[in-house]
Amino acid sequence: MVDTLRDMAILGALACALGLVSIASRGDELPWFPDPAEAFAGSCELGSAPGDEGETGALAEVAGSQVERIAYAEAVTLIGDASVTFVDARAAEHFAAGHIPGALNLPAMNAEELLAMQSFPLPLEELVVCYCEGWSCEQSEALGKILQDRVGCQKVRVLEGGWLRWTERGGPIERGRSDHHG
Amino acid sequence: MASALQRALSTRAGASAVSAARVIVAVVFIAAALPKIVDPAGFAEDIRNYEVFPLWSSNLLAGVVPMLELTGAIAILTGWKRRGAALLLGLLTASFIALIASAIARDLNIDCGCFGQQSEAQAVGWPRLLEDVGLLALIVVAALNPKRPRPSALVASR
Repeated sequence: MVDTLRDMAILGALACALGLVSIASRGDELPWFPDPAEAFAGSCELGSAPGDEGETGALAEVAGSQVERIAYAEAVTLIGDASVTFVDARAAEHFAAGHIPGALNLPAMNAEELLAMQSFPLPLEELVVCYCEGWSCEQSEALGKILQDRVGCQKVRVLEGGWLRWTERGGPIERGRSDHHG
Repeated sequence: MASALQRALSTRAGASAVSAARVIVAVVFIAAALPKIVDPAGFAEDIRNYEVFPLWSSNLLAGVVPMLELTGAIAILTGWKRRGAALLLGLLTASFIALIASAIARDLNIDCGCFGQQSEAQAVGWPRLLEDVGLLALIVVAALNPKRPRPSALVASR
């Protein structure tokens, strides 16, 4: 048993050394410690924990990001507002398992293909709120940029904390597939 | 029980089963490691999505974990420090099981990151958990040490 533990320690040390060399060789592609601004560029407010203190209650722009944010507290008041469109950037099966009522499903990973193939009722001048799984997912940011830059939506926001935040705070949900997905 | 296991392992079928388990375990871990080594930034993102580890550790884990998988897989395949490799891979797999279970408990709908981001997304859930439990069982088999049948036993069995 002692031999086995010693062998495991040798293999582990070798692997750790290789891993550290691998990180060192990547340079800027993989810094030793991630920059929070980049790591959470997808959906959270910089430096904030997923708690109330991080929310402003108003549309807030995160430094270095191109899509403005909207806090849960404000977004939940927009449910039922016909002028507001929620867009779920997650995969279809996640959308079917639960989503914000009335949301469209436009998975970020193939959003451009889907937008080219079919028509989505996306308003150009009204508010569009994108969300993905949680605080650190990046699909909502990616989709938001596509809607802003390619589609021409002028008021795109990313929901802070995404679906995780929404469900933690008890936001209304509905289940089932979207008429608008791939 | 132990002697029954020894008897089973001393047969050709038992030895073949252990060899097959070693090859399967090695192939699975090599297949899991390579995409993560190619795209460590994507794997770091997968790690962060679990919301378990501190942010500062995600890139370090993204660099080290695939190397642990690759080193363990090569060792178990070649026989160099095989039992140590099996223990290493077993602990890794047990960690993955705990991580996936915690994600299920928190109802997270995230990509498990099991095979990096190069492969088709695999959502965290019970199928992934059961796959890892099966993999853990295979690792236990791969760690066994089959005894070669004695020539006299082979002659006697003819």
